[in-house]
Amino acid sequence: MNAVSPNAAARSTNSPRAPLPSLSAMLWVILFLGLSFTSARVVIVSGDSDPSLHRRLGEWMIQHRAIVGEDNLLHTYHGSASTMEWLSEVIMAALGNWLGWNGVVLLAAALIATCFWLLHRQLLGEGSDPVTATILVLVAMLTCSMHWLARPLLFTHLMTVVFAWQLRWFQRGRVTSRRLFTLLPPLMALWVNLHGGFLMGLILIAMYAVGEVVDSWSHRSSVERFKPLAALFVICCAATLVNPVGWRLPWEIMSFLRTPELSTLTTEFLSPNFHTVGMHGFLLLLLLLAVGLIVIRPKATATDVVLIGGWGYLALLSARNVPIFALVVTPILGQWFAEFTRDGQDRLWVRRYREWTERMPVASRRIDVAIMLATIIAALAVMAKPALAGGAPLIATDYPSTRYPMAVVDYLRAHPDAVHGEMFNYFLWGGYIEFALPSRKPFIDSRQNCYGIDVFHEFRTADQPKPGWEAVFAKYHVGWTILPVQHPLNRILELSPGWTRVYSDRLTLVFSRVS
Amino acid sequence: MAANGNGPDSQPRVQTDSDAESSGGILPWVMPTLTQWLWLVILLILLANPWRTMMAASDGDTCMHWRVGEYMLETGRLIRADVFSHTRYGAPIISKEWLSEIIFALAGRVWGLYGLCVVTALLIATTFALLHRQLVRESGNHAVAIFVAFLAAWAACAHWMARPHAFSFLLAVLWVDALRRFERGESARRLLVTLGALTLLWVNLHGGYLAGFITLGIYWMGALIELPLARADQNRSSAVRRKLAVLTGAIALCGVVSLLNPSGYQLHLHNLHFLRSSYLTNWLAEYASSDFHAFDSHGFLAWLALTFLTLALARPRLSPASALLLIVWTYFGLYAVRNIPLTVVFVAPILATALADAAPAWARRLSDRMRETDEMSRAWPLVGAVAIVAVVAFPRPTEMPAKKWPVDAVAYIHQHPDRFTGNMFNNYVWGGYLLYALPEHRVFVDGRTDFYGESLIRQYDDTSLLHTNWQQPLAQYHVDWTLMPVDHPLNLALALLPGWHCVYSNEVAAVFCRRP
Repeated sequence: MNAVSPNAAARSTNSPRAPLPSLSAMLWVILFLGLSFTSARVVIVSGDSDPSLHRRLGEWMIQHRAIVGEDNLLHTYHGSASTMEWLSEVIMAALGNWLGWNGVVLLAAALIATCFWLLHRQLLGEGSDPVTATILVLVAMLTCSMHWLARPLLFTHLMTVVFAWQLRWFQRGRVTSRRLFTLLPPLMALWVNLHGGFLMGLILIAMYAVGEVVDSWSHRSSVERFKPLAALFVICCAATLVNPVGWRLPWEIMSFLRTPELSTLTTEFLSPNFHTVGMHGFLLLLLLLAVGLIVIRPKATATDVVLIGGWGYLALLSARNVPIFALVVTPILGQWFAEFTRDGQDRLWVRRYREWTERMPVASRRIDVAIMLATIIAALAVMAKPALAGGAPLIATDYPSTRYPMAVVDYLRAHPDAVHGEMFNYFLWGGYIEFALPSRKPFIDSRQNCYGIDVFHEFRTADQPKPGWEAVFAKYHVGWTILPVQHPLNRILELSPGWTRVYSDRLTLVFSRVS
Repeated sequence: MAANGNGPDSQPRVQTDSDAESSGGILPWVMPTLTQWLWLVILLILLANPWRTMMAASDGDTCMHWRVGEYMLETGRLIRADVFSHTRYGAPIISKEWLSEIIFALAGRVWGLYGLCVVTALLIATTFALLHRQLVRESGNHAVAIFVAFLAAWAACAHWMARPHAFSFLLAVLWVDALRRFERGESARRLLVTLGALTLLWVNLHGGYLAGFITLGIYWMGALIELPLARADQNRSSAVRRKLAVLTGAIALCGVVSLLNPSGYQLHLHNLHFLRSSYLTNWLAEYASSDFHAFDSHGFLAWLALTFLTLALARPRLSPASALLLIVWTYFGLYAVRNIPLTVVFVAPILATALADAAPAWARRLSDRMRETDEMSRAWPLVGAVAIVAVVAFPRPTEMPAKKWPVDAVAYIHQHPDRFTGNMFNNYVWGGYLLYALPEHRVFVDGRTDFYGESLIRQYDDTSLLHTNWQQPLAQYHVDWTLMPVDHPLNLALALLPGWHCVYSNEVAAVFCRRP
């Protein structure tokens, strides 16, 4: 990652060297602080209840000093547990134990900020001017922000940037195959233990290999870069076996993805809904792509076509692939816009623009490192105040009581005998309850890859509710329910003689069987 | 790469009849052109089952439009106030589809539901035949034209239903054709006459006329962008200024003509009011974005791939209007499933022209062979005869499938009229069907979402989703019986209420009545 483009090199000699951090570092600092100290931190931990689920699993592993093998969080499922995210769960739990949710926020903010810091540096390294690079990275941030949640998925975003960067620079001859082989397989071995999205890395390598073959075929040249890419693919495939369950992990993920009925149960696996604000970034990126293709009319390589087309298809298929699309496509857009300003020097406004951007000060890397370290230390000092100096935290982070049943959880902790039997819970609250009320096992959480389609169908029968809901309750000995006030099952239970309301507030109703 | 046909100065590559070589023998009379093939194949597929039933029974709106049209034929006047629901009985109606509803009703009088399918099949087949002709004329490449037309039909077919929006497909083709002809140098007078006539038809046939206005606005915007770009060239600059003036005139003319409908300017206010309600546009399935996991979205996926590959590999030089049209309508297609047919109709000429410019030699040779066959063909009498025979001879009975619609429940209600004297609460999707199948009863709600408005749809949701106030709409509208899908949660709740009991249920529907 040390290679510098001729453009950037020219800037470093002609531009004044100022005692300022680089734009990349400033971007990192602003993003890190913005995510850590604004209300964004609450969204990061509570956008859905998966951060709680992962933290709970991580805590179990730290407590038992073992990787979770048998799933015991739900009362509806007892079987082998998924270990595809064990390492990130342990990291989240360790930080959570130290700093509470603040620790998890700091981890997520650091991962997100580093991801876009690297992307910005990549764009500058490939010849983008600082203004274009910053605008494109801001658009990529807007696109990815829909998935800025404290979940292991953030590790996949970071790894995607690294893989896409190295593969792109290898294709351009700026990174040697030796470097590729020393960097990517170990990273793949790490990735496979952090998150199930490691398949993205393999797909990226395969896309570059296919693009290389097509480019060579269309230019009647030799396929000299295909062989190392093919070898890298094989080695990275082998590296995916370095995990607690070996070959069974990739197999489990493939089986999950091959079962559409299972893999489309949650919103993030569905196609993007362009009515929502969260998709505005994606739309903006697609607009830039269209403008680039129509106005600049770049000579796209086969690899670029495969990357944009392939990841575009995957993004349209599942909203969770939208951030990956943004991270992979942004450098391609950067290259198009850089070539446009370079080739359009005969136009006055282009010339003026380039002169202006080349006058921008170039910062020293030492200052970058210093300011980023100082930011981390300062943030840690603020967030870790109770651990370091005792007393109340300067900034507290928790789930919002307007969206999660915190008051009920407090009530049930204080009145453990208020309900009996097994629980039936709201789908989106599963992870939160597992963490906040570990003494009670929920009916369901978001790990459909563990409990499978049958349990989910039974859940849905009672959740909608449909005829047969009582049989589901009887099968699983459900004795009480915890559901949002407007949930239709509450109306059925209100009218059912065998049930009584034991708790209610503005958000939640709890019904219990009449003993 | 040379500027292609989407550029401002490009000329169409028209194949005139005079180019055709005369050919003797019977072959020209039995060998249809590609356009005729496309028309006939689409028509026959749509008239055959299961597509015919899918067109009529995908939702209840087909029946609803037929019933509204039939009411207008029976009474001999346009519908001005609601007579079909008990929730908004007597409320004024903005009739935005009265003409197509009357056409459907006339067809229904002749052949029942099959008649509506025939009208829709003719509209859709003609739409894509005209589109194909336009593509051939503009691209000059028959192979590219048939490929793009086929892909357009595949992408659009998910929304081929027997409803007034099929008129919008046809009018959109004619609309964009007129605009592109004008861009290529045809007279302004012809543009104004064509757009004026199309506007008059469109505002009385379907609310989709807004698509025409948006497209016209895009062309105007394109001309405005072109203006500073053409400053260096005096001739081009004056041509662009003239174009801008004509398009401004066209907008004014179409705006005035659009008032020639039964509701005048209120039609526009009504449509805009509906589109501004995010609750309603998020509520309706056809306004949802495409689910690319579903099989019927694969055509649109292929269309998006074609768009991307054309831009990336053919690298066309697009005029500002073409560029804006492509971007805006692709966005609309992504935003809502119901826009996809309009997206492909508006964008197809741009892609076909770009692809034809980049076509390899083998595609050009294939096109030449196709053109020779087309020019030789005199088979339109045969195609017409086959179509007439098919329309007349196809087995006509077209029914709403009893596995999806409450056909048996309706029969039960007919058999026991004394039990169903009060107001009904019905499933939204079934509303249109009930207008047609149970004309003696007024519905709670049907597919006329814009007429019912957000407040009533929210009340419908309150009851059907069992919100805390779910019984309030039942009381407010004096509902005495319900007709809902058998596994609907409302049935579970009513079964637990002492004042209600189930009087009928089968595997599709359940009917609950208040106890006397």
